[in-house]
Amino acid sequence: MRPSIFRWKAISALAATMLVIGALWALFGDWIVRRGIESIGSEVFGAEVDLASLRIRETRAAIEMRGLQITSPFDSTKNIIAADTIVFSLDPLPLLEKKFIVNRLTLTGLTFNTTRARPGRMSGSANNIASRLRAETGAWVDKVKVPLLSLTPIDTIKSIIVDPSSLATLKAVDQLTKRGDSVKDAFQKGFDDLHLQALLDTTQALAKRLQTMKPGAAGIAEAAQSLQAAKKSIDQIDQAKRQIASLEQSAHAAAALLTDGVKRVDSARRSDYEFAKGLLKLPKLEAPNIGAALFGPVSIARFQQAIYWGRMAQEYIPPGLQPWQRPGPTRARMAGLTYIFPREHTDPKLLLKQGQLSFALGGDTETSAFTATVTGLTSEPELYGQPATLKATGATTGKHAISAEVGAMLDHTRLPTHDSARVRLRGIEIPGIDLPGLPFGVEPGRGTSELTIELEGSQLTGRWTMRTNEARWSVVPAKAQSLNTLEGAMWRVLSGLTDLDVTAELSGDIRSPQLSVSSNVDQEVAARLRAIVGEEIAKAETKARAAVDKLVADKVAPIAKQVAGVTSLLDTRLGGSKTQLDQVQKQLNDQIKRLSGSAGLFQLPKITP
Amino acid sequence: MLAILKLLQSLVKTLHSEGTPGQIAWGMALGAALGLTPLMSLQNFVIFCLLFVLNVSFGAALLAWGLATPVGFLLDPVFDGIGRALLDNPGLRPLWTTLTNVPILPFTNFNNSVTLGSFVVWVVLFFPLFFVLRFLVIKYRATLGERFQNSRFYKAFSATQAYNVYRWFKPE
Repeated sequence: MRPSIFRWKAISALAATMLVIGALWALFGDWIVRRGIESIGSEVFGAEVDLASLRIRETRAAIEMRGLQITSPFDSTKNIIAADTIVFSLDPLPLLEKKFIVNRLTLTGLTFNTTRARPGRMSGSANNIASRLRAETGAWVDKVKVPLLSLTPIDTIKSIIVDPSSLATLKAVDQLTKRGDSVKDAFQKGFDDLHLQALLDTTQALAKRLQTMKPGAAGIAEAAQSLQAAKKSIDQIDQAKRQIASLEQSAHAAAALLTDGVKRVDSARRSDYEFAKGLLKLPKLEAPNIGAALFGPVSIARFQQAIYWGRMAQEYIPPGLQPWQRPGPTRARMAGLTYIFPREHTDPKLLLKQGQLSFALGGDTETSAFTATVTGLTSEPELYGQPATLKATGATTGKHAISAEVGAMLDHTRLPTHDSARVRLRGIEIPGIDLPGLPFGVEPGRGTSELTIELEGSQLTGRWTMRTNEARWSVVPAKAQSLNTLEGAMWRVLSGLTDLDVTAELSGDIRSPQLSVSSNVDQEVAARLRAIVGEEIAKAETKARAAVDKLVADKVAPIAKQVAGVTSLLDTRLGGSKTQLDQVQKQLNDQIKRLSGSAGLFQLPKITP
Repeated sequence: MLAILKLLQSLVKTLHSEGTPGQIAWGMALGAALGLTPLMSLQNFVIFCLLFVLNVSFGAALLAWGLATPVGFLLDPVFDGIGRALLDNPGLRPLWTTLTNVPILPFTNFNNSVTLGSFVVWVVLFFPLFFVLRFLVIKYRATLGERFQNSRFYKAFSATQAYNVYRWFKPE
C-alpha cells in the first residue's frame, strides 16, 4: 500500500513543539533579544555594550531597556555613553519586513565618559567595521607628527657622527654629476653632427677663390658657376645657423636644468643641516612647535574621536539607493556578507523618527538638567529624504553654572555627504592634561570647551578650543627638586599663568588631515627659552653645519664648477661657431656684390644676398 | 566519540525502520537543509514543520541534519562565493530588492551570501540526493540489512526506551 503524504497524528506533536517554543520565548525572549542587542551593539561600536535589562511589550509594540552602557572604543575603562532607561515605541507593521521604525525614543539619565565597574571588551575582528575604523584613525594619529619638546641640557661638546650615506646632499651631487656628464655628451654629439668645421673650410676656400677672381679676366661661364657656388654656400650657412639656433635652445634648457640641480644641492644641504641638528636633539623653540608639543596629543585625542564617529556615519549611513554590503551576523557559521537593497517609496531598514533625551554633564548636575532632540536618524537617508539632526541645550544655575549648546546634522540624502557638529560647553570641569615628555601637568579647572567639525565628502575641517582662567599648573613631585635650567625656566613661565587658551585646527582629507595647534603659552615659553639657551643653540647649530660641510664641501664645490664649465662650454662653442659663420657669410656676400657690379660686362644673373 | 556513536545509532535506527526507502530518502534530503544552511531562517522553520507533517522519516531527517552540519561548515566559503555571485548579479537585483522589501520574506535572510549560497546548493542537490539515498537504502536492505536485523546488537538496541520514543515519529 502506498503511504499517505501527510502524517496527521504528528500535528499534535508539532503543536506541542510550537507551544514549547512559545513558552521558551516567553521565558527567554527578552534575554535573547537583550543578548542580540548587546552583540550587535558591540559589533557596531567595536566595544562592549551592556544592558542591565530589557523587556519587550508586545501589546504596545515597545521595547524598554535599562542600564545601557557603551564602552568607549578608545578607553576600555570608560563608558562613552550610559543611560538609565530607554523606551522605543515601534511601528509594528514594518517589523514584518525586518524594518525597525522607531516612532518615538525616550532616553533618560544619559551620562558621558563615566568610569566602568570593569573594563569593557574591544572587538578585535579584522572584518569588523569598528575595528577597521579604529585602526584607520590610529594610523592617522601615528602619522600626525607632533614635535616632542625636549628640555634636556644642550650638549654642544657632544660629537656628531653623521653617516655619509644618509646625507641628501651627496645623493643630489651624484645625480647632478651624472646629469652634467650626460648634458655635455649630448651637446658634443649634437655639435659634431653639424659638421661646422667642414662647412667653414669649404666656404672660406670659396670666398678666397672669389677674391682672386677679376671681373674682366674670367670667362662668363666660370664667373656664373662661381657665383652659383657662392649662393649655395650662403644657403648652407643659413641652414647651419638654424641648426645652431635649435641646438642652442636645447642647450639652454639643459643648462637651466643643471642650474636647478645646483639649487637642489643647496636645498639638500639645508636639509642635512637640520638632520645633523636633530642628532643633537636641540629643542625647537618656535612658538607653533611648542604649541603642538604641549597640546598636540590632547587635541588629537579630541579629533580622533570625532573622525572615528564621522567615518562610522559614512560607513553605516550610505547615500543613494545603490545596494550596499556589510559583514553578516556573528555566528558559529561563516558570517558572509549581508546586502541591503533599498527600494524607492518604502521604509528604510532603520529609522528613528524622533527621540527625546535628557542627560547630565559631569557628576554634579542632575541627570535631567539637559535635554536633546534627535530626528530622522536612518540607515537609508535618501528614502527618508531629510537629514538627521540633533539639538541639545540646557543650563544649570548656581556657583558652578554650566551651559551646553549642541547642534549636529548628518545629511547623507545626496552626494557629497555633509556632516557637521558643534558642541559648546561653558562652565564644565575640563579634564587635566599632562604635558607630553615634560614633568608638568595642568588642571584647567572650569572653563569653556568648543568643538566644531564639518565633513563634506572626504574633506574635513575642525576646530577645538579650550579656554579657562583658573588653570593650575603642577610639576611631577619626583622631579620637583631636580629640574634642569630649561625645565626650571619653563616652570617659572607656566606657574605664573592662570589663563589658558588652546586652539587646535584640523583640515584636509579625512584619511590624513593636517593639524595645527596654538596656545597663549607658546609665545611666552618660546621667548623665555630662547633667551636662556639661544647662544647654546647657535653654537650647536654651527657645529651641526660644520659636521655636514666637512663631508659635502669637497663634493659640492667641484659640481658647481662642473656645471659652470658645461654652461660656459655651451656658450663658447656655439657663440664662436656663429661668429665664424657670420664672417664667412659676409665675405661671400661682399664678393658676390663685387662681381655683380660688372654686370654690363658679363650679363650676370641678379643675385640677392 | 559520543557524537559519532549517536550518529551510528541513528543510522541503524533509520535504516531498519519500517519506513520505505522513499520516506527515508525524502527525510534525509529535507533534513540536509537544516545542516547545510545557517539554521535560523524562515525556510528552515518551514522545513522543520514539513518534517512533522509530511509522512517522511523524521529520524532520517535528524540524521541528515547531523551529518550535513559539518559539511555545511566546511563548504561555507563555497556558499559565500555562490551567494555573492548571485547577489552581485545586476540582472537579479530587482528580485533581491523585492525579496528584502516585502513582508515576511526578509526573514529568509536571502540577502546574506552564505545563507543564499547554501540554500541554492541544497535546492540543486535536493532531487539527486533523494534518488541516490533511495537507491542506497534499497541496496542495503536487499543485501546487509536482514543479517544485521537478526544480530544480537540490533535486538538489544530495539528493546531500549529510546527506540520507543523514536517510534512516535516513525513513518506510517
